[in-house]
Amino acid sequence: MTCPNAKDWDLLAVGALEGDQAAGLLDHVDTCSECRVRYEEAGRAHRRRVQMYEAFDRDHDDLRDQLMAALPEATPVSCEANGSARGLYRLGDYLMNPKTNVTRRAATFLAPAACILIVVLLFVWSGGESAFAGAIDYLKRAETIVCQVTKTLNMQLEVDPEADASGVVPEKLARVDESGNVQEIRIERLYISADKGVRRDEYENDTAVSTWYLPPDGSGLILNHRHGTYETFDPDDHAGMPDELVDEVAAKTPDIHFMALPDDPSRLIDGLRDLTAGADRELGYEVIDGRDVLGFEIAGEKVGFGPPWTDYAKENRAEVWVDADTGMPVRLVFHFVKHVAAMSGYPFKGNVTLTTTYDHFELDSPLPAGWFEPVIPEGFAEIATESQLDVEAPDEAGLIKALRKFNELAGRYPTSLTGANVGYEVAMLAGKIRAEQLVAERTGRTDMELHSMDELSDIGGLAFYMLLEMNGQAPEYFGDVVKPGDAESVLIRWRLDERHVRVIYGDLRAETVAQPE
Amino acid sequence: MSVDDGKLVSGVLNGDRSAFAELYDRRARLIRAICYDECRSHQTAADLTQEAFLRAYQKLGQLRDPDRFAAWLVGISRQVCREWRRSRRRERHGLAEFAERKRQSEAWSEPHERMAEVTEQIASLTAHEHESLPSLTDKERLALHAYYLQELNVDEARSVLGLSRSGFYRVLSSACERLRRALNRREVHP
Repeated sequence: MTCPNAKDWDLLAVGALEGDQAAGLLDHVDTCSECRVRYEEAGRAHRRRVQMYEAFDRDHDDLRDQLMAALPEATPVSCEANGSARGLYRLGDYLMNPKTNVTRRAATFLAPAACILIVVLLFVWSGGESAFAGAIDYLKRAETIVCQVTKTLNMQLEVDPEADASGVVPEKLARVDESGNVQEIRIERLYISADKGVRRDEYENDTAVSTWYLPPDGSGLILNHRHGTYETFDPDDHAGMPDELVDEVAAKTPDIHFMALPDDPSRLIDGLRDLTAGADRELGYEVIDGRDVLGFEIAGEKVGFGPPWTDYAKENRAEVWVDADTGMPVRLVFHFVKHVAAMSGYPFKGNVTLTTTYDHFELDSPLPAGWFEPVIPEGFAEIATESQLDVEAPDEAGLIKALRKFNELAGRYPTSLTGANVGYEVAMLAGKIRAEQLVAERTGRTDMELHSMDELSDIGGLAFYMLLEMNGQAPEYFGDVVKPGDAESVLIRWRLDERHVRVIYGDLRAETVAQPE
Repeated sequence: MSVDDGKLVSGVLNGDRSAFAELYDRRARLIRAICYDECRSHQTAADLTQEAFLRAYQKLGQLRDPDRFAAWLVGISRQVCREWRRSRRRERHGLAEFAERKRQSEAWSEPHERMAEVTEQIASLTAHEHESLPSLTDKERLALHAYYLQELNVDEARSVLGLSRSGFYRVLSSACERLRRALNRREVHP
């Protein structure tokens, strides 16, 4: 037997492993003296920690009695829980933005761009050490962080001449040049304060597009300057999301995630430290904004641009540039490339590149409290937030239903079922539906609220595939090559047990197949 | 634990104060550890913990999912800690200066300054382990606290962090690994 690694011994020593896993390791200990030493060391460390934590038990009973005596006489009043909503499953919550649903409307408007952004939320960082890990530790206590975020979206697209969009889509959804190429540049100013919350100002061509406010507690608010509207959102509202996905998203979401409006500067610093610690190579020294900086390159998979949440592309990568003297963050750059598959009735296909740059960092600048207090301009209309996308809980039937619906809308199956790709394709569908509405109405409206995500509710069942991955059932999907209606080809398969595989064919028929001996 | 947090929360909302005492018994140690990370003083940590629980009681009706009480309480305690940090900063004046901050931070981490309290509170055998805690990320530290202060129960601990079992294993083992490295460094460079 190959010797287990140190992490296994740690988990065994602290009592976190059970059953066969623990028994297998203990058997190995009996036969391997080196591992026995590791296990014993891990056990000693565990016992030291148990002792260490006893300190937090001191005076517990007295403190409890003091607290109970200090509690207000009045019983806390319950706000009526929305039990029915909790049982539902909102696609947009995790597809468009795992932490908040506030990008959903933007995604409808600028579907490809916004949805690509969700991968920025899904960074997966590996541990490790670097020279800068310690150097930036002292920044952890920053009270405020200000930075600029520049998002550049380049879409090298072919316009499908057969698509019946009547020229509306390019004009209304994005600016497209004669070659069908789109470039969108958005600038954001992000303010994070440990005690006041978060504010994000978004600009396009020097024109304010939106302002987001998120206080330390309670609901956030978005002002949409372009359309004179505002809406509230609850960043902690995961109601309706399956627990497994909440857990997985939490596990995959790093301590730094700008789209989700981090509410504590220390999380940003933690994230930076992990990024530099997990770097694949150093990029050498450069001068940025007059400062000597050292760059690190992090491979795409490590920053979340890989399975199971996104499809791997070797062009996907991140750069982190830190001040060579202080370890302060100077610039972060994320490159993400995505191939866009054709969709029936929608005139875009091609390659999309999104580059997101975070720079002009300022730490501990005094930020006036007034900046974080939302002021709704006169005449702004409130948008109801009740148009959540409620979909069924993901299971096999839901998955089949979702594939059927997707095919109805797109004329094909999704090219892959990774979280980001599904989010991307759903956003494309939303864009297509919206384009069709615009064509149908022939109003020429630019109203972002004109959308119909409800039509996409059945598609939430696609998340069943991710649950299979999380459950270790080794699902495989071939939607990039299998045509709808193909009864002979396997579209999806996953392991039920050691001897049986569940299969869904191209015609969406399902059956259990015994593995050959 | 025989009754889950959600039922205890419901009990409190129905006027059963003893249910809140039970919630305190379950979670106060964890909250003290989180506060201690911030203030490095057991007395202050105890005070901040009391404040966090008091707020939790007052806001309990706003808790959307009673079963996630522990994670919600951790959020409140972090907010209480942030406010404490801010008030302390106002008292000290001038800490906004970056260089000063660095100097303060380094001074804060001087072993001899912390050792007096640590040795008072904890057996000397555990001191190095404790001193190494700041080398962990927030998530790793919380995982360690949650595990050791909640009966070494993986499911209890992971619910605090909102992680899957495998996700929790990753964070916990990473915490152990980082602690080991930190301790090794201390042994090489005492």
